[in-house]
Amino acid sequence: MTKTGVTHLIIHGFALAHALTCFFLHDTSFGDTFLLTCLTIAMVVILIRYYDGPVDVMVGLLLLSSFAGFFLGTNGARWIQTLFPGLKTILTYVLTTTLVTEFLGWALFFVVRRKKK
Amino acid sequence: MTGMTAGAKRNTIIEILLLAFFVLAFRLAFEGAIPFFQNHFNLNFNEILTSLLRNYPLALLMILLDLLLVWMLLRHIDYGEKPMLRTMLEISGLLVIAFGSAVLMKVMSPQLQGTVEDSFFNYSFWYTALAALFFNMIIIAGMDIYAYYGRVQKKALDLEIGKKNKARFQYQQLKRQLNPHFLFNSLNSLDYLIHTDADKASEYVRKLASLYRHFLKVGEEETIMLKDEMDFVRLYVDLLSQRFDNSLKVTFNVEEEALEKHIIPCSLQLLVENATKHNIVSKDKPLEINIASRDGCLTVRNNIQPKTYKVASTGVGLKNIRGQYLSVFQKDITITNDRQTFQVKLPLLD
Repeated sequence: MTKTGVTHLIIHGFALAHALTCFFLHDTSFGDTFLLTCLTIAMVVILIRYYDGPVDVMVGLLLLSSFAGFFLGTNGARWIQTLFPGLKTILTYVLTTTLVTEFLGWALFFVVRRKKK
Repeated sequence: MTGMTAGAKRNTIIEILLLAFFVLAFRLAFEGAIPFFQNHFNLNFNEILTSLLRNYPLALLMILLDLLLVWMLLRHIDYGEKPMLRTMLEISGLLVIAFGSAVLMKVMSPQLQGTVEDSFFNYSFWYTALAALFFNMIIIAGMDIYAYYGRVQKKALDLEIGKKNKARFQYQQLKRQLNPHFLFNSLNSLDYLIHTDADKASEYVRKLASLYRHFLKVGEEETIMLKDEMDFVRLYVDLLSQRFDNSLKVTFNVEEEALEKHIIPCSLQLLVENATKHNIVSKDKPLEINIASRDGCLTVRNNIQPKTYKVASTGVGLKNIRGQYLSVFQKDITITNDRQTFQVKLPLLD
């Protein structure tokens, strides 16, 4: 499989994992925050290691991604609810987390795709 | 990663896990802290953050300090060199900036100081420090990623330029190997020697063969020891001396320690060749070339006595040496022409 193919697999795979986690855990007492953060961190680590990015840049990317994921996720769900009031609440969260994961994944890909020689 | 040992790989995985755990812990602690301060002390994170950012001089100062921190780290430790040390220094710097910002904020905003009985370091102070930490963390992480991205792009560009320079230089070297003028002149000299001095002719052939052997040997090399390049240039000068009937005077004043340093292959020979190509070399007007080492540089200087007919010069030779120096050593060569003498300074590298 090509490098871009693997990247697609990683990002879409994690987006799906985020969506499923959100769907099954969002309305439970345990909540989905912990697992979603773990998944975001795992995606960032895997992408950076796959493109051989340095460890120190990883910290910045991890922090930004985990906070951006949280803020974009919660606010994004609110915006989607305003735009589509008829949509079920859980679906807005699932949709937002999927979109945010895809966005973070591809943003990260553009940062790390060129290996430092 | 291919050349990485098992030990180094294991260390990297441990570092990654530690950092990922740190980020996860920080992220969860941060999420726990917001409702804690809200419920127990009626402090709102957004309000604190907004009041911090509305203090424009302080916000500007924080951004400048963040920029300074990233710039200092970038100057002393490159990305991927010492990741743990770099991360620790960055986090320490971030904590200092956040703490200092909270102190300044408290001093500058009387409404945050509370009653006289309140301690200076009360909950409001620590919540402000947390907001400052969050803000500075986002700025530093953003700057770091931007700087890394810029650096990676520059390295990729430099690599491409380096490849292009190397290919051009190798092409020039190849052309020089097959230079028909040089071969023609050498064969003419040889023809003359065969009829006048058989021993000299034999020696001449040996030198010519050594010269071509050197051309072939260094074809793929990026650098060469000055000692080897000097041996090669001596051979080349010997052959030229036969041709110019000893009107070419080359002096070498190279220090012993400089001989162990490196230069670009054939760069010295190319400078000697250039000097003979553009100047008159005759008994009346001997060409004097001085090759000397000083202050970590090799200087090649010759007197200027232009040929009556202009030799077409594209400057490609010097341009190629400069390109090779910039790409391999990241150092430039210096060319000076004061109408009396022409001088080229080549940096020597360890």
